[in-house]
Amino acid sequence: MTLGYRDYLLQDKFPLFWCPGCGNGIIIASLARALARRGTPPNRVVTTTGIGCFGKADDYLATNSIHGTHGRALAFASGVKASNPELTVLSLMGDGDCATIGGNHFLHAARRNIGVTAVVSNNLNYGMTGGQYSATTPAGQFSSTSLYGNPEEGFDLCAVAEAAGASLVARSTVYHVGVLDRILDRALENPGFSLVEVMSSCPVHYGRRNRLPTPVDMMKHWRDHGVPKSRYDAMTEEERREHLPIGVLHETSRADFHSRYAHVQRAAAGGVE
Amino acid sequence: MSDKRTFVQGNEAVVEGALAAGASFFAGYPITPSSEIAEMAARRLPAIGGVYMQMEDELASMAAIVGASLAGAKSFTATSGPGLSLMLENLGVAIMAEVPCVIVDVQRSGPSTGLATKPAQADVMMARWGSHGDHSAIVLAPSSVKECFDLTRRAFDLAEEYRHPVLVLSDAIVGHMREDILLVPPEDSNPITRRDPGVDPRDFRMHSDGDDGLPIPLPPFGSEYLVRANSSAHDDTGYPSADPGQARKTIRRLHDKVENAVHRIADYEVIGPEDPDVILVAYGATARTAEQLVIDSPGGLRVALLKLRSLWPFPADAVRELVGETPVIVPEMNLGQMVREVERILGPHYPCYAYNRSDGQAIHPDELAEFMVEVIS
Amino acid sequence: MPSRGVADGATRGDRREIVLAGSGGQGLVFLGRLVGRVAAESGLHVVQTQSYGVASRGGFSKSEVVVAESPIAYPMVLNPWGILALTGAARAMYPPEADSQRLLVYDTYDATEGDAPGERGFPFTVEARKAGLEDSFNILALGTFLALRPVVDPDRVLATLAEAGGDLGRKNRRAFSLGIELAQ
Repeated sequence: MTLGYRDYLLQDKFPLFWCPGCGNGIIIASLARALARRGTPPNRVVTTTGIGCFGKADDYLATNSIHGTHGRALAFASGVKASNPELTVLSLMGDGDCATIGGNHFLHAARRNIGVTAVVSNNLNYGMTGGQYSATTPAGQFSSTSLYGNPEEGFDLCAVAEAAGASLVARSTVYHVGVLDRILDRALENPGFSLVEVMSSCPVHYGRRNRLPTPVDMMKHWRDHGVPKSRYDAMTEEERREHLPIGVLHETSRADFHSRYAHVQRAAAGGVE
Repeated sequence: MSDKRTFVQGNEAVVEGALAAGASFFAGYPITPSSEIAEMAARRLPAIGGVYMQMEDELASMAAIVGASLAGAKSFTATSGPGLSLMLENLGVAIMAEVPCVIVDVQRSGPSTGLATKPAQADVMMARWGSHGDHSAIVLAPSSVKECFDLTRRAFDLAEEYRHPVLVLSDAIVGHMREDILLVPPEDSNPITRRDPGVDPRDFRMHSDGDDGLPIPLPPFGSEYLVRANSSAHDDTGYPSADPGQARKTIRRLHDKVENAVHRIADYEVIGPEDPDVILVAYGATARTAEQLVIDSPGGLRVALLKLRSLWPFPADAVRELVGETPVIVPEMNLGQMVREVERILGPHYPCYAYNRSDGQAIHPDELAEFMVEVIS
Repeated sequence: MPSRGVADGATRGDRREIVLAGSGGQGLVFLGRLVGRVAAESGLHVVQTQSYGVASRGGFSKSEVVVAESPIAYPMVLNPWGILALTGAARAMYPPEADSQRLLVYDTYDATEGDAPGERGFPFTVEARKAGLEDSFNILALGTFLALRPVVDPDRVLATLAEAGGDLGRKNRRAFSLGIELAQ
């Protein structure tokens, strides 16, 4: 039986509860297409989520799921993957979930290079609780808790993942859907830890407070800011400040957690300590 | 393993008990006085094809054992009070999504960092009520190395039967003491294994009961059944639901499946004369102090011990019947936790006394004897 | 499951109890485990407990062993028959008791005072150095102590030490035998 992207979606649960102009629907559609291309049956896929707008993503996916606690999606996923490495394990998180409250789990999942695909919908603020600043909100930007401009610098999640040891690091925006489709394919093929960061639109909270009040404004923003890595690398420092590299940004063949642990199991079974 | 008596540490016996129960996954974060459990799990589990995973903190440890259990492994973790404080968050997920797993808390003196190497029994109420929201709890409390083995072994069965996280509340004395015991080798053990739910995958309702009245067996991720483990309020398939009627049903179900089975879960031992002058109600290391008084009969008093091997759910009817009208003393290495439950079920006019010590030291038989003779005579 | 038991545990008089005290890093828990294992394998009931601070090296540390023919209720020492004190501080924690059967064995190396009633000092450190057995100093002291307070059969301890092969095993056996001789 050939699987289509609809086989991964719970269409009877539509319409999506997210706001008009939100990027999250684009991301799960792209993810469903990538899973269908790969052909992994839905019952062999486990989706873990936390709390927040994108924490509701599992509500629309016809896979196994753990809808857990805020920030812990990767910790649940690590237990699943370590216990059964044959499963395809996804963690779908927002920037609040992954970069902020779950930052420690993010670092360590990347360090272990455990075979989980982390898909982060980065809308630069906490959408569900009313648009407060998160750990990816850029300095100076406005939110419901940074009324005078954000005093903190935001994380570059891709740089953090690379430094922590992720074997595949990629970024797209919700405008660059073709890029998103391609990097999700690469992520699902990678045996180790993959980060797919998707710059996403939150016109209702983030956009409204930062001169991007409509869905179209936000889409134009991503269209104009996302550039292929090769072009970004050729830019001047000043141009770089106004742009974000997209595509696969980092890839290594570092051994993943499971292949290393298989070695531990062989050593232990052989009585070698 | 022969039937020769071996000399084993309490924390080691916990791991032996887990292995006898069929455990294959441990995730944890080292903490005194529980670290030997992690160390032994790290040595033993990979040798049987299992996994030891050292997590970044206790939040992740608890999450990982829930994930591993859903993937089909019998999973456990071990910690002490400061770590259990962090685990409470995802302990709630195990309760809400009905995921079997075992948590061993080797209690140390608190609050906060407290006395890291010294014993206490002050996590009794945290084990019962710590995770937020209405819920029940299954908590066992070993008082010897043998009970570390037996109760950990049983904790896994209870977790599977009731699809509920089970806590083994040990303490720094019991965890670190070594005693002569006869261990049951894993091959002689007969643990409960995960069964197929036995329904059409399309009709599988994760939060329904089987014919035996117990929660339907949990199929592992990757089987033909789709499993949705949900920390949010959900319907019986695990799909989110904000309906008050559904919420009432879910919360009641999670509570009642344990509380209504108290007669099947509760475990205790009565030691001493049939017609005692006083009954000591004790658990954990303190039960050993109390047992010494049963042997010593200080002041000529006939002393009996009601040793609680399970703390929650509390067997109120059985305890009422057992004590009759005999005066009761509840000694604890805390400022009075279990005694509140004993007082509550015996009523306000019952002769029930607390003896408490909370300085990181074991209760000595002589101090308890002095107190007992004073209040009973 | 719920059960009823009789109080068949060891009375206070049935308990043989020892304390091995000193500082962290002297192998006191190791000694306690060794004695406990020999007791268990001899068919006795035995409990070993320990008390220590947060440091792996230094600070007060002790290991207690209770041995009896019947099951042991209270796991810690109630009335020690013997105390092995490997530091002056440990010795000071167990002042002599009048009319007691208790014996405290200590190392004379850094002792400032001679034997009090119920105490016997031995030159453990000096003898271990003389024999080139500094690393097995604790085993040497245990040999002397068990010769005087045989909670388990010292020959069985020697046999257990013999199970560990190699240089360390040989040294430990020599040290233990030397300790027994020292007690004569």
